[in-house]
Amino acid sequence: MSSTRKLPSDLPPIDVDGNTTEPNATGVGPVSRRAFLAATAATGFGLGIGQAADADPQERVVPKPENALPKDEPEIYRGSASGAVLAQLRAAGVHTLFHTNTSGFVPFREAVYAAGDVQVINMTHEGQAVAAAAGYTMASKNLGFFFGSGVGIMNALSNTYNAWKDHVPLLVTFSGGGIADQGMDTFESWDNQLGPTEPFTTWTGTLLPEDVTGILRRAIKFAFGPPSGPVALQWDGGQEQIEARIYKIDLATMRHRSRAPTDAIEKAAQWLAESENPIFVVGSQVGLEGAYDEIVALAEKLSVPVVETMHSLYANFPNDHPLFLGDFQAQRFPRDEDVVMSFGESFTLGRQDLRGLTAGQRRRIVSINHDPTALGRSVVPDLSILSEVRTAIRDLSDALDGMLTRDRMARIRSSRLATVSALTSGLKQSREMALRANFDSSPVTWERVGYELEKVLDKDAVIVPELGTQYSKIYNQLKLGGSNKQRIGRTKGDALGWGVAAAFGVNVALPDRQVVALQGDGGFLFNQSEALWSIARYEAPMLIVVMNNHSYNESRARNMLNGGVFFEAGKDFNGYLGDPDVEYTTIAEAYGLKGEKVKNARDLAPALQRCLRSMRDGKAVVLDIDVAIDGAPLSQGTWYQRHSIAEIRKKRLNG
Amino acid sequence: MTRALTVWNLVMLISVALSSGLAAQGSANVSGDQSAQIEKGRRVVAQVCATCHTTIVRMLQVHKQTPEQWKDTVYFMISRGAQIMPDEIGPVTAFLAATAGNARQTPADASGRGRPGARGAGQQAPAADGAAILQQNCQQCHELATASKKGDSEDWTAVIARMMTYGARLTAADQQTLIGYLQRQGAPR
Repeated sequence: MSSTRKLPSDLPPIDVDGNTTEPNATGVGPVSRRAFLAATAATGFGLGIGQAADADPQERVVPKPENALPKDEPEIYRGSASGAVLAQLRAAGVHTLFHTNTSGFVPFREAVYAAGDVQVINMTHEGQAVAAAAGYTMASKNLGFFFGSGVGIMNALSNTYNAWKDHVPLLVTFSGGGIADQGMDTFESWDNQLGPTEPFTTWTGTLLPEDVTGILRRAIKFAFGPPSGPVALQWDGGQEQIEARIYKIDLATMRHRSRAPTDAIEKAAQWLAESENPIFVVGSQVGLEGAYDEIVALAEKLSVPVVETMHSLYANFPNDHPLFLGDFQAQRFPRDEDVVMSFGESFTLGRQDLRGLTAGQRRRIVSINHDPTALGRSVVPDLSILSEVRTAIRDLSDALDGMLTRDRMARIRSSRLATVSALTSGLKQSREMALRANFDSSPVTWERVGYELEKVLDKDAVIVPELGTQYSKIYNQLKLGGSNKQRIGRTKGDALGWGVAAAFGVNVALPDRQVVALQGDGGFLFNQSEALWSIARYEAPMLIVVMNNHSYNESRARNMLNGGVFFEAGKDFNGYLGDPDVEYTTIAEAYGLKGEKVKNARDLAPALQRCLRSMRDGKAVVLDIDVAIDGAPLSQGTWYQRHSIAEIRKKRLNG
Repeated sequence: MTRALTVWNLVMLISVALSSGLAAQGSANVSGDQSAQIEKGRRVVAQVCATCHTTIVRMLQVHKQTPEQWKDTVYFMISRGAQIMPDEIGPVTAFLAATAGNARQTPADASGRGRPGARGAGQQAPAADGAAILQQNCQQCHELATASKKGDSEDWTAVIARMMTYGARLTAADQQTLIGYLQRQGAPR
C-alpha cells in the first residue's frame, strides 16, 4: 500500500506513550516512513517523493501518458438525435441497455441495430427493468441505462427509489413528456411527466435535440455525483437530424473525488493510536471503491475489531476474519469503545444503528465518506472526513506509520487480537451449535440452507439477497467478502420486488460467475415472476432460491413482538401466504426454466446438485425450499381474514 | 422527547427491571446453582438481547415458552447475530424459562391464542408499584429516562389519558397508581 500524499512535518515519530523514536544508526529498531523520508531528505538524496528541502520544495511528479493534455479534434456525430444519444453512450463505454415494451423509440432502436456492439436486454415490466439495470451497475461499476414508455414511470418508481437509496448511478429514461400538450389531459400524458421521479433522482431533465449529448453528459455527471443515484430523463422520439459533439467519458473517474486535509487525517490517526477500544464500521463505499485489501490491512495494523450495519450493500470485510464481529447493532465488544471510525457508512438507521454503542460519554465518532451529503446526516460525527474511502484508508495507514513505532504497533496488535479472536472464535462455536441444534429439521432451517450453499457454490459466487432480518442465519454459514463470495444487496430501500431482477442484472454484468438470488417467498410475489421471462430469454444460468416460509414472517414477528389484540387473539392479519400455497416450481416451468422443490432437509443437498447441473447446462433453476418460520409460532399460523366472493354472491353468472 | 439516556444506562435499567420485575417471579423454587445460572443469564440478556430488543421486559411478559422452545429461540438469535458465547447458552435459556416459562401461566386459553399457556386477553400481572407499571408498559415506546418526564404545562392525568388513546393498556387502578408515582417523581424536563 502506498500513497503519494506529501508527508507532514519531519518531527520524529512519537509513540502513544510520548517517547520519541528516532531511527538508530544501525537501521535496527523503529523506523517510520515519515522519519525515514525526513532522514533521507536531510542527506540531500531524493528517494521517491522525499526531496531535500533546500534543493526542491516540491514533490516530483512524473508526467504520465494518460495525463497528457488532449489535443485531438472533438468527435462530431451527424445523424438522428437518437443516434447521437447512442454514440455518446458508446463513447462512455455503455454497451448494455435495459428496455421495456413501447412504441416510442424506433430511431433509437435503428441506431442500436446499426451500431452492432450494443445489447438491448428486454424486460416485461419497467420496475423489473430498473432493478436489473441497478444490479448490472452495482456489479459492473458501469452506467445502468433504461429506456421505456413514459406511461411506465409509475411502474418504474419503486425500484428507482431503491436505486436512489443505494446510490446507484442510473439513467432511467422515458419517452414522451413534450410540453405541447400541457394541461390537455391527452393520451398517456400528464403535466410534469418526470415529477413523480423527483424525490428519488439526483436530477431530472429533457434530452433536447439541440444539445442532446451535452445534456446526456451532464446527466451522467449527476448520476455519478456524489451523491450518486438515478437521473430521470425524458426524450421524444429522437428522429431529428442533428450535429453533435461526442464527449470522451471515463466512467471510472466520473464521480467527483476528494481527499481529506492532512490535519484531519492526522487527528483521526492520533485518535486511533491513542484509543484503548476502537472499532471500525465498514460501509458500502468500501465495496463500491473496491477498497477491500486496504481496509483489512488497516484493521490488522492495530487489530481493530470490525463491524458492519445491517444495511451494508456489499460484503465489505471477510466475514471469516478473526477481527470481524458482525452486525454493528449486536456488537458486544468493546463495550467501552472510545473511537468509532466509520468508512463509507451512512448509518441509515440513524439512532438504531448506534444502539450497539454503550459508552456515550467517552466515545468519539469519526466518519469518513466520499459523499458530502452523507456526512453527519443521521449521525453527527465528532470528526468528519470528506474523502475517497480508499485514499483515506491509505493516508490513515501512512499517518499511523509515522506516529507509532513498530514495537508499539505490535504490542497493541497482539494484545487486542487475542481478546477479539477469543470472542470471534467463541461466537463461531455458538453459531456451529445453533446450526447443529436443528440440522435435520424439516421445514429446513435457514442455517442449513446457508451451510449447504457454502458446500457447493464457487468461491467467487455472487449472492443477491432479498430477505428479511433472518439473512444473518444464511450469511453466517457462507464465507463472504475479501477473496470469498461477494454479496450485492439487499437493497437499502427495502421496497420489495427487487431481488430476482437485480440478480439477473448482476449475471448480465458477470456472466462467468455463479449468481444466486436469495429470495423470500413474500418478496417474490411482488412482481418478480416477470424477471423470469428475461432470465429465460437470455439464458442466464442463475440459481433463484425461494426461502418459502409461507408467510410475511418479518412483519408478522414485528407486529407480534410486544403482544397486542391480534397476538392475544391468536390471529395474524396479513402474514399468512399459504392460501393459496403458491407452487413456485410451476411458475419457473411456465417460463421454460427448471423448478426444484425441497421440503425435507435430507433432500436439499441432492437438489442443489441437480440445480448446479442445470446451471452448468445454461438453464436457470428456481429452488423452492420449505423453510422454518422464525422461532416459535406467534399466532395461529394459518389464520387470515377470510372473504369468499363465490360464497357471498347473490346470483350465479351465466354459463 | 429527547434521547437523553445512553444505551448502557438503558441496559442497566432493563437489567434492574429484569431482576426485580420478572426474574423474581419465576425463581421461587430453584437451587443455588440454578439461581446462579439464572442470574448469569439475566446479565447476558440485559447486556446482549436488550441492545436490539429495547422492549424486552414487555416481550417477556407477552411471550411464554417451554425451556426447549427458549433454547431454540436462543439458537436462532445466535444465528441472527446475537453475541452469546457457548457457555452462556444454558444460563440465558434458564433465565428465559424461569422468567417467561409457560408453567406459571394461567392455564386457560379462552381467547384462542396460538401459544399455549400464555396469559389470556385482558389479563395482566398485578403491578407492584408505579415504577413497575412504568417499566412494564411505557418503555414500549418511551425510554425510561424520558417516560417519566413531561411538559411543564401538562398534568400526568392528561398525559396518561392521551397515552391510553395511543394504545397504552392499563387498568383504571394501574393508571391511578402510575399517575401518583409520576407526580411524586416531579422531575423537571
